[in-house]
Amino acid sequence: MFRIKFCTGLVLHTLCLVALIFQGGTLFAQTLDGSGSALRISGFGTLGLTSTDAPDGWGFRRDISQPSNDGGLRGDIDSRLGLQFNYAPTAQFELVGQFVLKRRSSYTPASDAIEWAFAAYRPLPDLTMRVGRVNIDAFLAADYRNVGFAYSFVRPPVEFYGSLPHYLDGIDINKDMQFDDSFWRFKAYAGRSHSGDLAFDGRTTIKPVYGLTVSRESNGLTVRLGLAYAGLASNPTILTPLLEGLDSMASVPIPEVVSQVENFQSRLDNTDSHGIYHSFAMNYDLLDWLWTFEVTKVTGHPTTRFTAGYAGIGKRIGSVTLLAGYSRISTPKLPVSAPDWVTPLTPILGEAGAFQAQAIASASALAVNNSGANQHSISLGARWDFRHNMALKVQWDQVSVDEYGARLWANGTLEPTNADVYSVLVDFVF
Amino acid sequence: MLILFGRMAYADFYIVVHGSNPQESMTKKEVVNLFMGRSRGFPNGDFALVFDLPRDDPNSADFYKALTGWSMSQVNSYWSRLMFSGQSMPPQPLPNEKAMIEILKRNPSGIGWLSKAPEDNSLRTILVLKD
Repeated sequence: MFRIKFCTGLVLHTLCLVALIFQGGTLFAQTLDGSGSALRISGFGTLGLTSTDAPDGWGFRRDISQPSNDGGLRGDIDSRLGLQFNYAPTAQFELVGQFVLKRRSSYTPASDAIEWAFAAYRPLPDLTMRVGRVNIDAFLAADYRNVGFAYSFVRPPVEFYGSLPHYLDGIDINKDMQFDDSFWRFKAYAGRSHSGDLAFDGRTTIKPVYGLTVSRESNGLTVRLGLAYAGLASNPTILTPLLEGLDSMASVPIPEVVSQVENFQSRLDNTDSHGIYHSFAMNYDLLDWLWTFEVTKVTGHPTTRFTAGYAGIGKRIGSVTLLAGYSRISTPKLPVSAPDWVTPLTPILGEAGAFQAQAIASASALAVNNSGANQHSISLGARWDFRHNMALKVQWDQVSVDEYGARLWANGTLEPTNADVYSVLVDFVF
Repeated sequence: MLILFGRMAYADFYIVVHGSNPQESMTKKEVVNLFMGRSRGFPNGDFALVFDLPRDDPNSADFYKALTGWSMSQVNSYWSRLMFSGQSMPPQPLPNEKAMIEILKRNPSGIGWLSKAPEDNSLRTILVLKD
């Protein structure tokens, strides 16, 4: 029997706001004298229910910034409400703010509700510079992953998008070019961001971030290449005591132990390191068929390394789209085992000291082994556009999690498992 | 059937600009780029102010089908990707074709669409979209 665990506050607030919006009609605001709108208010949202059939306590999440949950039937995995303000006094200048209301982790600062907050300047019709909070535009759906109405499946594939950072505080420059049948977009960006698992205090600072994206669109086919550098500026607070413990072990006079300490440090200590994101995507939308494919490989520090990809296909039949997809993520090979530090260290540190050292070794091995994300999922779903601005979606995801691979889950354990996730939701824009 | 046939036979749409606009003509692809947010300017490089009719206007679905081949839901889904990623806003919707004519008459850099050829000499049809 399912346990119903609505985040009632969020769902009720969302319902009230949506009711007000539809009751009040359009929110497009004031219009200047014949020259277009200066301020436009628009929004999007999702009301969703997710039921997870997984081992006791395992909580499904759409990304690792979501707080912990213990599974069952929930309304807070996909439900959210977004509001956007565009102020464009001239064709060259625009201010944009977007706020997203959803259930967030207690480790999330309030400012994370600001998804976008930037000033855009367009010296030419095909050149745009933006300063403020934008997004790391390295992946196909990176810019609109909160906007369910914008994509076909119930959510961007968790294996691919579930551990990618969101926003970028910085600058981006966008240049558009057209050659005969093809439309090209070149984007460069730089700034800083945050990432990490917020089921616990796992937030880290990523700086500097810079990257390039090139996309080409022609006759329904979009091809996109991305390259991004992410500097790692801090470790998750939750790891601080463990890293301090490893530091204290680095001076013991036994080379073998020191080597093992350094090995753990290289796998757990982020500082002064980096990750490099390489990505390739294709999206083909022609007539009644949709094809999408995206792959990324992240190299650099062991905590950032992973390979992920997905492929999806959709067939439109009138206002209904039938969907199927496959996605996968894998991280470096695990497990590592806890070395024996009691035997070599007892003569030096005494029994009590050696046992404390052993606790550090065991905790370090556990921390490394918990960092793995190795899973794949098969998805079957349908989208029904029952209004021009509202869609009903249903989806079944069968997820297979490998041993030492449950990082994307809340409260996951080290054992392999299978899980089924059933989702029903309504996406809307206004 | 007669009503349906009549509607199909007269499903032309007129892409209209101010009479003083130096752009002599536009291809369908160039118009698609403007109305779908891929371009912000006329082919001659001037900024364009693009005006639309409401998505629930009785002619909007036919206009976008003729322009892009997409349903209104597909058009809205496309725009939700652009507008909520901060890239571009959809053309400003005006209440009706009368308002469209009035605003285009006042904006030398404006462009919009009508379901009938404009009778006012201060406006010029730059492309006729045939269903």
